[in-house]
Amino acid sequence: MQIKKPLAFAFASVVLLLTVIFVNRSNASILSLPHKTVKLQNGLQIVLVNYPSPGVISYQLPVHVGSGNEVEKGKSGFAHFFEHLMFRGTKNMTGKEFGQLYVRLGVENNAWTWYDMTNYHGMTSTQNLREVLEAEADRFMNLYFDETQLRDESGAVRGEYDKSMADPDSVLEEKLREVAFKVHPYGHTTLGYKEDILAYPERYQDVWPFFRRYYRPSNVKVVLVGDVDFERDLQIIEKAFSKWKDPENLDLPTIPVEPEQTEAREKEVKLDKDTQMRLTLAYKSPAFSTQTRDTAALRVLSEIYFSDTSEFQREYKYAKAYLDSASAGALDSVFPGLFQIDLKLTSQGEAKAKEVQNAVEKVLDAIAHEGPSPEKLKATQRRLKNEALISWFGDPEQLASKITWYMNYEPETEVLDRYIENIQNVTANDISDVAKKYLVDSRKTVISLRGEKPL
Amino acid sequence: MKYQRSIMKNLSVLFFVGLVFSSCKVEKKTEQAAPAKIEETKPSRGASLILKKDENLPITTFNITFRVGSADDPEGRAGISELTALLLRDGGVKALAAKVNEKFPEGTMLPARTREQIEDALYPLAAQIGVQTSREQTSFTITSSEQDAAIVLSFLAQVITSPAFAAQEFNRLKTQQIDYLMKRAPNEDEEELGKTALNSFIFGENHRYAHSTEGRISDLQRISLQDVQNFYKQFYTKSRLTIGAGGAVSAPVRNLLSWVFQTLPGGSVEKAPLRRVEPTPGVKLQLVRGPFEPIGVHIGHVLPINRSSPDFPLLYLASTAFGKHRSFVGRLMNVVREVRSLNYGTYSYVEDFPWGGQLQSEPSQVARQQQAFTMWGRPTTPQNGCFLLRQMYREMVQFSHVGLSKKEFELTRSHLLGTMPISNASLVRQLGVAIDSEFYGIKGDYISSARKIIEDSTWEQVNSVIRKYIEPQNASIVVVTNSPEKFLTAIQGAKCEIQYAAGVQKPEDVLKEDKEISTYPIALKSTTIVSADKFFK
Repeated sequence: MQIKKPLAFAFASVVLLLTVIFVNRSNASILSLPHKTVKLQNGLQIVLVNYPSPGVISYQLPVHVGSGNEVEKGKSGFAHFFEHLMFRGTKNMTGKEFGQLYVRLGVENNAWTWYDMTNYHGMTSTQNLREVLEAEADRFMNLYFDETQLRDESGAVRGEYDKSMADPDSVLEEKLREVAFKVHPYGHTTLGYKEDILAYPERYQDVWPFFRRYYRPSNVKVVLVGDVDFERDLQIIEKAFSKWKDPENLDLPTIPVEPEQTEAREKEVKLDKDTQMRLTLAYKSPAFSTQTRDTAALRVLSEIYFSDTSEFQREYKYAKAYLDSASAGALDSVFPGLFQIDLKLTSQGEAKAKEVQNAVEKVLDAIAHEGPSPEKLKATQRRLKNEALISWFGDPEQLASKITWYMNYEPETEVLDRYIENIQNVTANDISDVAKKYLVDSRKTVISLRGEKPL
Repeated sequence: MKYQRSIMKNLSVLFFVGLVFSSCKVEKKTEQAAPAKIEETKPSRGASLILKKDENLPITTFNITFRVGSADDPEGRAGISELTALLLRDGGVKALAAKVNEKFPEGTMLPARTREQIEDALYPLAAQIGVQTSREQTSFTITSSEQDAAIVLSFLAQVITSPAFAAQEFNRLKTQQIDYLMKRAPNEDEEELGKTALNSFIFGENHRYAHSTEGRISDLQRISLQDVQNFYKQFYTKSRLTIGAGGAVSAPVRNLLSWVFQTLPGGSVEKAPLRRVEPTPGVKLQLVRGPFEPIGVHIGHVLPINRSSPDFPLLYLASTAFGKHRSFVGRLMNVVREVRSLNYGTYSYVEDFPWGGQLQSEPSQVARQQQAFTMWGRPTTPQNGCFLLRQMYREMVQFSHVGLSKKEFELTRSHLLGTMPISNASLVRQLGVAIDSEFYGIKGDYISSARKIIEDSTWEQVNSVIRKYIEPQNASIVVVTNSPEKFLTAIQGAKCEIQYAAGVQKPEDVLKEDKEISTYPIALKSTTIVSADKFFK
C-alpha cells in the first residue's frame, strides 16, 4: 500500500511536467513549422510552409468566391460551373493537353467549390513545381474555351446535379437552404437551381464577366505546404503570376443582407423511393469569426452535446437505437449561416421522430440554463486542440487545406491560433450564452425527409 | 521513499531533455526542415525499432507491427489472428507488473481498465488505437500530439503487453466476425469475394494464404478464449516485433520505446513458414456462384519475386502502365471503361491490395513473402461478362508478348517519378513503408531506391521483365456470377459479342477490335463451379 501513493504522485507530476516542458510550444503558434507569408504587388497572397515531406509539395489556389456570391437571377451555381470550365484549356493549351501534362508529371490535381470558396489543389514533386505553377498561372490568367466546350461542360454539371440529387442528403440540403434564407444567396446550394443549370449551354457570354470579377490576383491565394524552399518557390510564383493584374472596374454586386428570422419554420420532404428518414434542425448562426468566442463556443457545444460520446447519442443511438447517425455543428461561413443538427433515423426510430426532436430541443434548453461541467469542458477543449494537431499535421495536403480553409474567413495565418485559443478560452457561460442567443425557436428551421416504400 | 526518489530522478532527466528539446526547436524555425531520417536499431533481442524523427512536427505517431497474420492461423483455427488482435484492443487491460513499473515512470499508474475506460481516457487526447490484420502482419497504431506521446504509448504498450482478454468482448467480437463471414462476405461484396476466391485458387485451398483474414465460420465457432490467449503467447514475441515511431519523438519517448515491450517473450521464429508456390500449368477457370447479377472477372498467377528483388520496381512500372489502381493512367482502364463503358474500372497489381474498393492508394502492412500478379475487372452486365473475360485475357496475352509501347513506358516512368514521393508524403505512410522494408529485409528507404531503379530503367528492360514474369498460359481465372452454367456455355461457345447500350455509336477501329475480342480463344485446361460460401464456411 505504501508503494501506491508515491506512484500516484509521480503520475500526476508527469502529466504536469509534460505540460510544463512544452510550454514554449503551447504558447507559440500552432503553425509550429517554418513559414512565410508574402503579398505580391498585384495583391496575390502567398503562404509558404515548410513541412517535412521530402521531395513533395501540396499546392492550393483558393479563389474567394462561392455560391454565396451568386446574387444574379439565373446564375446560381456559377462558381461551381466555373470550376469545371477551368479545366477546359487556355489560349496556350487545350484542356486535353492540360490533363496530359498532369499525368506526365505525376501530379494529382483536383478542385472543389463551396458556399464561400473555390479551391484548385494538388500534390506535386518539388522538381515539377515550376511547371505546375506555370500551368496554373496560365489558366488563371489566360483561360479560353469555345462555346461548344462550354456546352459539353454544362452537360457534365447537369449530370453532377442529377447524380447528387439521387442522394437524399442533397435533396434535404436544397430544401433547407430554400426555407431558411429568403434573400441571401445562401438560399441555394453550391450546385445551384436546376432550371439555371439547364440554361448553362446558352451562357457563353455571361461566364466571362464572372471570370474577370472574381478570378483576379487580389481575390486569390497561393498556398504551398511541404518541401518548400522559400526563396526558390517565391521566385517561381512571382515569375508565373506577377504580370497578372486586377481589372480596373470590378463592378461587384451587392450581396443582400438576410433579414432577422423571427419565427420557427418547418418543411416536410417526401421522396418517391424507400430511404432512411432524416431530420435536420438548423439555427441561424453567426459568420465565422475569431473576434468573439461565439464560433468557438458553438464548436465546443456541438462536441460535448452531440458527438459520438455525448449523453444524447449514448441514449438515442446506442441504448434506444433510434438513430443511425447524428452530427452537429455550424458550417464555417463568411456571412451569417446555419448551425445544423443532422439526424438519420433507424427504421424503428422513424416512428419516434417527434420524441427525438423533443430530446434535441430539451438538450439545447438545458444548455441555455446551465453549461457543461468544468471537467467535461476541459476534456473537450483538450480534445479539440489535439484533434486539430493530429488532423492538421498528418500530411502536407491536410495542413495546406486547413490553412486554405481558415484563411478564407480571416486572411492571416494567425487565424489558426486565434481559433484554437478561443476554443481553449471558452467558458461554461459562453456555451450557455450561444445556446440562448442562437439555438432558439425563432431562429429555427426544421426539415424532415421521408421516403415512400415502393409498391 | 526509495521508489519516490528513483522516480524523481527519472523525472529530472525528462525535464532536462525536454528543455533542450524545445530550445532546439525555436532555432530550427529559421532553417529548412531536414528530410526525416530513418533510423533503425535493434534495441532488444529480436525487436527492431524504426524512428522517423521530425522534431518540427507537433505530433507523434506509433506503429507497432508484429509479423503475425492469418497465414499463422493454426490448422482448424482460421481467423484467430484477427480475433486476437481485435481482442487486444477491445478486451481491456490488466495493471502492469511492478517489475516494469520500476523502469517506467509514465506507466507506474497504469491501472486495469475496461474498453470503455480506455476510450474515456483517450477522449481528451483525441487519440484512438487502430488495429489491422493482414496475411502476415498485424499492426497497432496511434497518433497524438507530442505532449501526449508518452501517455498514448503507455496505453498502447499496456494493450499489447498486458491484455485482460475480457470474455464478454471476446464473445461480441467472435459473433461479429462470424456474422461477417456468414452474411456479408459471400452475399454483399462481390468484389472482395472475387479477390478472396482468386487468392485461394492461385495458392491452392490448403495454402496458408487461402482463407480470408476473417477466417472460416466452423473454425471460429471452435475458437475458445483460451485458444486466443495461447495464440497471443506464441506469436506476440520480440522476434516478430517491429516498433515504429514517427514525428516528434522526444528522447524520453524514445527511451520508453526501447524497453516498453521488454516483457514480451523473446521467441525465435520471425515469419510464418510458407510453402513456396509455383504456377500450375494451363489456364484454369473457376466459376463462383454468388447472389450477384453483374459479373466480376479476376485473373492471376503467383510471382517468384517480391519487393526485395531489383526486378520488382520494373514490374511495378509495367503493371502501373497496364492497369494502375483506379486511374486512367492504365491501359486496361482506357480500353475497357473509357472506350467501351464495360465497367467502372479494370486494374492490375503485383502486390496484394486488400480493400481496393475503399482505398485510393496502396495500403501498408499488407506485406507477403510471396506475391501474385492479378487483374481485377469490376462487375459488368451479365450480357457482357463473357466479352469482358475475353478482352481481359487478350490484353494479358498482348501485355506479356508485346509489352509496353515506348510512349506508354515513357509516360508511365515520368508519371511514377512524380507520384511515388507524393503517395509517400504522409508521416503514417512513411513509417508504414519503412516497417514493410524491415519485413522484406530491404535496407534504407524503399521508395527512394525503387524510384531510382525506375528512373534509370529502359524500355527494353521493362519489356523483358514483363516477358519473364507474366504468364497468361498459366493463368487462374475466377468469375463471380449468379448463373455460372450460363456463363460457362457462353465462354465455351465460339463467340460472345459486346452489347452496347441502345443508340451508342462506336468508331470503325473499335468495332473491328470488338470482333477480334468476341472470338478470342482461351484454351481452358479445367473449369469448376463452386459456391461463394465455400470460402468462408
